[in-house]
Amino acid sequence: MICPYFAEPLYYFYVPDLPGLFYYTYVPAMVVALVAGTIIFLSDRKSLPNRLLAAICLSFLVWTFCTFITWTNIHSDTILFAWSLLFPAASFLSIFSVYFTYVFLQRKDVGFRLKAIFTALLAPQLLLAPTAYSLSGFNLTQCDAFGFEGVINTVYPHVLGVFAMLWILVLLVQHYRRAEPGFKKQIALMGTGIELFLFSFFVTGFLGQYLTTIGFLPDSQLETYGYFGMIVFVVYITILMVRYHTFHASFIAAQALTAGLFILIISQFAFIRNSTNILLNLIALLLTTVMGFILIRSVKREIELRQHVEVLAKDLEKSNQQQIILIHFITHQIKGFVSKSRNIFAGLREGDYGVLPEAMVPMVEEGFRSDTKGAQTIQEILNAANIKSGKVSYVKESFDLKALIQEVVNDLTPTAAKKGLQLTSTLDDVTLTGDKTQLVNAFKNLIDNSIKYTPSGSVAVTLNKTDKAIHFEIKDTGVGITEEDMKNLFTEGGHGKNSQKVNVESTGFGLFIVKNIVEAHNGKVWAESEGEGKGSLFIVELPV
Amino acid sequence: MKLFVSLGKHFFFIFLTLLCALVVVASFYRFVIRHDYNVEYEAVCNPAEQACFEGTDENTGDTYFYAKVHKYVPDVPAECGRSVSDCQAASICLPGDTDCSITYCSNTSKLDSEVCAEIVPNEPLDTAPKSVTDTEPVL
Repeated sequence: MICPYFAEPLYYFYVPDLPGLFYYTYVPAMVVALVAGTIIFLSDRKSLPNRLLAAICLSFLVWTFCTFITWTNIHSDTILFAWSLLFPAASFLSIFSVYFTYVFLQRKDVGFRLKAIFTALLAPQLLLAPTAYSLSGFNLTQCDAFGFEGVINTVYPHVLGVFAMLWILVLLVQHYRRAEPGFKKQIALMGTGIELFLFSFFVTGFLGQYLTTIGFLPDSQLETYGYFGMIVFVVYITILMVRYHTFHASFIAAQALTAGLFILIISQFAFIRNSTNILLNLIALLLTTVMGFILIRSVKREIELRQHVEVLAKDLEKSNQQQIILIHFITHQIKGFVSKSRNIFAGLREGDYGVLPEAMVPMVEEGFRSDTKGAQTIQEILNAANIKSGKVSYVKESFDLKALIQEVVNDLTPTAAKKGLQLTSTLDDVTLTGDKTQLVNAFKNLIDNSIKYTPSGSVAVTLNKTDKAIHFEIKDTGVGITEEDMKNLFTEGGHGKNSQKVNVESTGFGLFIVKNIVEAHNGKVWAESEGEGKGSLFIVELPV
Repeated sequence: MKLFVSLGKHFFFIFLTLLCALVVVASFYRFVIRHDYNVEYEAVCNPAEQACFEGTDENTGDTYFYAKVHKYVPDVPAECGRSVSDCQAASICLPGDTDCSITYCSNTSKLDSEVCAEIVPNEPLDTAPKSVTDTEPVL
């Protein structure tokens, strides 16, 4: 049957009576969906997000193409056949959008149960599509099937669309909260794109269809505005691809964006009749061509540059790794030699090899002291390397922090006394859960550091507890810290500008180790100083 | 064994692809091959005999009269070809028609945008009672 009051389209698809906006929305949307889907799929065929994105584009393409047929064709058989595929395509669009969101957020495929739910949600639409429950007839006068559609067409796809939008929104919010800052931006971009797309698609589609069915509108032209959503979605996806290398399509995306804009402007010629508008459109076309060329060239350069930087970064990471392995190897070996030598000196000191001649004693003492310091220095470097490579594990237990710090202070009092320094402590009763061995190391490092950098005066250690935190402070009257040195203080190997003049044996790893240990206990450490020669205050804050 | 593992992994896609293919084939068979659906169209109507709807040809401005026929497509007479609106044979319901009804114009059957034709008073109306009937049942 043919619709008697409608003309056969020219070139199969062109109907002069149709408003220009119709071609302006449908044609670019179809081309954009086709180009974007193909590019994304071909850029990485094995990637699931790419496949799903291509499936979304394909569903949209089927929907748009079938709608296009229903608008331009006048043969009832063809129109009904196309009409029957519209709503399964819309349902696929909803489900693939949810599936894609899951995979994008979790970076892995969903489980069998979720796939079964997706299939169950699609099943009614698919199974009923070829039956009279979906479409029972056709109005040749109006050349449409409005009024012959079942609930499975008029309600189900739209409900599924709204359900998908809400489902995606919940997923986005859940994952956004616990995502890393870098991924948060990707979630925001992808989420906004897909939600805008679904919203424009389903809301305008539903309103267009509903208002036509109740006779409020003469036709469902309103839904054509919703197709701009696809272009918006593709723009968001393109940003993701260019900025974050998502979907591995990078450079091609810039070309696709330019091509999309180009097609969009070209298609405006379909309905522009005014010569001024034609001229303006020509200018827009020219500008888009030039700007598109510049954009593609810039993106290409940027991508090449980024790829080069990535290669360099990988090389650097590899070198760092090799350096850590080398440090480990060397320090282990040296530590073995130094320890052996230290043990010999210890044996000599304790008379294991007989009584030493008087003249040898100072030399043996010096050798023993030097080897002990050497072993400690090597251990410090080893500790820093272990922390950096994540090999340190923390065994947490509850212990008396006051007693532990008092012990450290007692151990270091002779060292301070030797320099003529006054080492005092004011400690509150505090119990803490943490790694005792590592914390001893951290506190010892801090107090020892203050003693080393204080030529004269005093070093005062305090420990107090409030409702919110535990504060451990070391205040000295030492060389102080300049603003410039403050920046490198807790960094790996971070020496102060003049620190080596005061402490030649500094490895630069001490405060780096302290910072890592404190942070492993969810605390923080920082230093305050009014400047060079004005002393320093080191503060460790630990949670209660 | 590898084939089964691969099938299991891609079950969702394979199943849905097959289902989609089935839907496309079934729809094509129903609408394009079997024409298993009803059509509603404006059929020839004589205002002297029936309460016709009145329409105006947008191109010529001529007035024409019609009744709304609802018919199962395979029952539409073959001699009407693909266009049924001007075909006399498609304007009536026949015994044996699967699903057929004719709607004439009345205050209850017409939409706001539709107009009922005024019946010419001089001509006898042998089906006068029928003219007030909204819908003629299937014969």
